[in-house]
Amino acid sequence: MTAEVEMIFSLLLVGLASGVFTGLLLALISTGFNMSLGVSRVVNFQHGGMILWAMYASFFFWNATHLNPYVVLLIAVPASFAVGYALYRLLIVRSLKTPEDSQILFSIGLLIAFQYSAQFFFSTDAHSVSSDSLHGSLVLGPVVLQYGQIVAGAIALVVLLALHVMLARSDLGRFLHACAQNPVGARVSGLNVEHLSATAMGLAAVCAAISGVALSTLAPVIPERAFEYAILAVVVSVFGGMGSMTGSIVGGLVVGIIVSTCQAFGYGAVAQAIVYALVFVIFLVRPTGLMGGRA
Amino acid sequence: MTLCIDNIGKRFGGLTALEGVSFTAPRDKVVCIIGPNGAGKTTLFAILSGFLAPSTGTVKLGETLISGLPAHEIARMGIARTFQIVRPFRDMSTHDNVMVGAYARTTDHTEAGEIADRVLERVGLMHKRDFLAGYLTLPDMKRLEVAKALAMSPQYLLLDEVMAGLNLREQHEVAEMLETIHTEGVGILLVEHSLAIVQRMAHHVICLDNGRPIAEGSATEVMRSEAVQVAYMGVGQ
Amino acid sequence: MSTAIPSPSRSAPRLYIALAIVILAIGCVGPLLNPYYQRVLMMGLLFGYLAASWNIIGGYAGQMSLGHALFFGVGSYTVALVAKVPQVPLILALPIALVAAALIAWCVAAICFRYALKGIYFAVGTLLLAEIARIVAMNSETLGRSQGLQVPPGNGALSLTFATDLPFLYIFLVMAAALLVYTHYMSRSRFGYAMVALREQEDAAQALAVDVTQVKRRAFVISGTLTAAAGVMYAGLVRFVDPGYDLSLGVVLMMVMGAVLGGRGTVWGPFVGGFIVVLVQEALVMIGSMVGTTSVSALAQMIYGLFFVVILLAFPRGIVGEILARRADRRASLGAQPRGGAK
Repeated sequence: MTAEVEMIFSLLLVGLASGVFTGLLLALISTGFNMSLGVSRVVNFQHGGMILWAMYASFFFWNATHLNPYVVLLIAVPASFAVGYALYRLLIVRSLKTPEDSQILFSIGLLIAFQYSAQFFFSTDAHSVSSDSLHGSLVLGPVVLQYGQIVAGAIALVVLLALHVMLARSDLGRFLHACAQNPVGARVSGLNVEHLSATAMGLAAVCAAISGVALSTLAPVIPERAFEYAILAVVVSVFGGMGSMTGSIVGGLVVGIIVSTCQAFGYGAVAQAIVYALVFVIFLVRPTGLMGGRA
Repeated sequence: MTLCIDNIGKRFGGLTALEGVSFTAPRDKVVCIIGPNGAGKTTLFAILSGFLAPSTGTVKLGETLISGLPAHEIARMGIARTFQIVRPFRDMSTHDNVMVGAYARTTDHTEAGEIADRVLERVGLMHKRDFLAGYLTLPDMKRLEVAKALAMSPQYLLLDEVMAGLNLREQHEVAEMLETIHTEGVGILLVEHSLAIVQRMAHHVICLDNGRPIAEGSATEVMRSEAVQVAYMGVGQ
Repeated sequence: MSTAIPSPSRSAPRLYIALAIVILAIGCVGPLLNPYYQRVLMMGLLFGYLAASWNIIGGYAGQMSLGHALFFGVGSYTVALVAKVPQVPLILALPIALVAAALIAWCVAAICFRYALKGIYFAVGTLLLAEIARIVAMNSETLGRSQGLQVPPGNGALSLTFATDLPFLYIFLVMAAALLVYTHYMSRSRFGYAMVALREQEDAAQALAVDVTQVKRRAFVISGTLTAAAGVMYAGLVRFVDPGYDLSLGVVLMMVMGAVLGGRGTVWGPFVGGFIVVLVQEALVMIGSMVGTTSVSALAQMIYGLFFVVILLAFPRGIVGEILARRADRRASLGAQPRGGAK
């Protein structure tokens, strides 16, 4: 092989490897988002806000204690579940009675509230967490992976598997599946809709929390990114299929690999734009995504 | 100009919704399409009004081929269609609802308003002119559906189960209104379940079953035919 | 589903009287205010105008576009680019931006509505397009990357350069007044009725000879072009183009909130709503700066976010919308008498 081809090949490998781990994290973000989508039927932009909150909390915790930031999950998981559950029962359930357009704006309002309340509570300029326990990298041939990346991806994978198992056997899983297929039918099926919906929202918040903590080890905490994470959640979900859990994983991996590969070739900034353009095209042609059901 | 339906067929994937439907609907005859649920009546209307394209066959208005044209084009050419489940523009007043139809004929606000007022008089909704359409009773909404279509000065009115949900007295009131409109030169095609109305209004009846025409003729002929009785499994309402 | 009340029934004389009063009030009081309040008034008028221009596609036609930042950005960036060309008066940026915006809007609309993008798909789809534009601007040397572009002062009025900012107050006032009058006539026209009809019941509208795709496209083009005009004047005023603001969702949200708060699909609503949104923002900033810490200004913004939420729950029809709805209710419950002649 010539030197050029070799370089392209190794860049592709870097993109692939890095993309897989990033992709798993994206899959987690998308899964949480899909769960909230399942119960509210409308894009929930506030998911990005919740992710940001977790990022802030993670940085704050690490800054104060210098422990591995993932430890904050001990508090963050139950706390975020409670927030998600309460959010549904107090606010979201009311917004469901308003027209679809208002619901979209409503979720954007929540995103803004989350974004700025995080800034208010944590009030510092935050950067990314650089924990000693996550320092260092793994070198495999041309591929260099940061430990932080690997841990983030691994944790995402574990959570995704746990969710999958849990949902496969539970009422909640059946309910979410029913909601995706037939929202009205699910609501009259005799299941305790309010409780199940709130639980789903709680779980979505937990996914956001875990994603946020993981993200804080990889990226600086910039409040304006809350909105970008929200869009990212939508984008990945569309790729994989709105409302489909398997789709989230596929979508996450696809988007992760595309973005990482572009970054490897030095086109990182444009990668986002490319992904957005692809998603727009998917909207035109098959809006429920590559693996989703009927719109 | 006369509406001619020639060998219309419609397939959805492997499902044949309509096959071999042919008839002529002269302007001076009221044509009723009857048949059990799922027989393809609404599909036929959707094709006639342009909301669906036929898989085979043609629909002609006079010499002009209209099958395959978009719905708004066909409406502009004079085929006005109402929907099985009423679709008023709920946040507009009754008068404004009708104005949407009137604007198909003119671009002037005042003229459209006058047309709308005249149509409201004809259908008997003038007393509810400024009500929000969402607040009307069902019989009034049915009249509104007809009024909207009428404001276009159509050549044909395609009414899809306009009697549904009305009691017998209300049905006859609507029938009377439609008969007046018909004598003024508007061709009428009705999809109907109400046999009383079919008996009263229809000059020509076509019965569909499983997408195919199984009987055609006068109301009495069709309803006496064995095929129709079997299709309904007992006679209508 | 819609919560807006169209008001094609408002009579023209009443409109002109009310408008004249408002113009006189603002026109006379404006110069007497100190520069800070003048700026607030200007922004109020500008966002009233922006909300009203969004209202055409988002309120009357009922298609919620979240991508209007694209057109605002076309307006402001055109000004910055024209400023780079020596000897050319900045005012030329206006027709250039309008043509560019109209073309872009036409293409976007043609694609989106040909494929019948609706509801959330249209909202997110237009948002993605605006985001793509923002990313392109942030990465383009010509467009100033993330720092944006300066618009240096030029020669006199034709380059939108004045001794004070006061002329912009009158520019925005004229723009807002013109759009108000246009919206009034549009809402009574065939186009206006077609938009509301397709918003309410697309199928029924088609059955009444409304070419839904073409009407939506037209609404989007008009809306986008009007938005670009505001972008041009905004850049003329602040003399700075910032992709993080001009092309961001923040601008769109203010427009949309203005329209929703005031009343989508009404004539006066978006102007009232846009003004209120600006006032609320200014009030929050003022409170934040009085207390002094950045954390409180974050609290203020959080309140702004919750403000959205509360408004959407409490006033689904918007302020003006609610007023019109109550009036319609009263009419219905009293039993309508046939009203003769023009309304």
